[in-house]
Amino acid sequence: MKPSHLNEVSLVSEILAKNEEAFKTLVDEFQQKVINICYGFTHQKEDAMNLAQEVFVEVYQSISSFRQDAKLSTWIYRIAVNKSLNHLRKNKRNRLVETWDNLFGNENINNAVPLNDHADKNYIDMERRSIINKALDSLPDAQKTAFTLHKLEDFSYQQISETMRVSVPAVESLMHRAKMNLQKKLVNYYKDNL
Amino acid sequence: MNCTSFHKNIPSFLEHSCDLELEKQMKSHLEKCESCSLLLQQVYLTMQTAMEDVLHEDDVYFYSRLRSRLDTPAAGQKKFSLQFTLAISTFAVAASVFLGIMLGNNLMHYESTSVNNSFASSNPIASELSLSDLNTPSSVYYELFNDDPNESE
Repeated sequence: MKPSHLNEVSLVSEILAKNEEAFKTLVDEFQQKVINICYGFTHQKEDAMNLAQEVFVEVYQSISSFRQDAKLSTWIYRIAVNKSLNHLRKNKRNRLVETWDNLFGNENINNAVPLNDHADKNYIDMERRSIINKALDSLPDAQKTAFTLHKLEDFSYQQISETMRVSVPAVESLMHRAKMNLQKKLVNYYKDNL
Repeated sequence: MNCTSFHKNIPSFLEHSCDLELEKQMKSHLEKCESCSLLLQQVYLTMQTAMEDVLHEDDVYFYSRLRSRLDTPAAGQKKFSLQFTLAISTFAVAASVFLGIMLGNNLMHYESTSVNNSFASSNPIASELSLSDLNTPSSVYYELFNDDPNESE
């Protein structure tokens, strides 16, 4: 059950009083969403788990600074987004090393030896994920954030606008531009690689 | 419509944001061009992959790892060491500025003293005079020319 505003106030008070059960309740409530926010940016399960841990460490250490002018969930998701963006900036140099050749080797995918149906589908899914993640990484931060949050269930444009501190029309615009840019990049890629 | 034009309009076609006439032309081209049809399919499926790429598994050990991370001193120490480093750095800068001012003052005092001393050592007459005498022009005159300013001619 999602914490209501009154519950949030008492939950925060309990956590400030170092009540471990209260903090566990908070973690259990928001864990999956936070992990998926981090995963949306990092595309790596291990990195996402580590980052999510750092998010909750910061939540625990900074809970006294939570001003309750926004929902607790919004505050936590903002921390997750900021930590993820900082993580990407720090690792940007490493990501630039990966090239399309490293992902696919020297063979054209169409000439690859056909595998059985199940393995083929997994392989194709994996390759599509690599392609789209590369395209996502090249988006501006605001578009990347809006698209990543939109993927999650229960993340309405209203929730995204509160997390990003922009208006709902701005979120709609960011989503539209993100999708258009991603599709353009995919068209350019598949034009030469099909 | 040619393939180049079709490629250019794929994003708006997928987003249903092109006008009816353009949409009609796109559909007509799709029926005739197999490579554009395949390209559109790959773009669409890859976008779907992006939308569905979320983690569903529950990590049952997530909280216990988090708890041990919070309980280890490193979590608090890291924050503490940052504050400590900032405090030390601020103190070091302030101490350096203070020392610099003190040294500067001492250096100026030393230089003025050594100028006077070097003047005195190079001039035998001046060396017989005390520093306070040097500040009185009439006394200097008297000493140098052995004139008694009180004697009338």
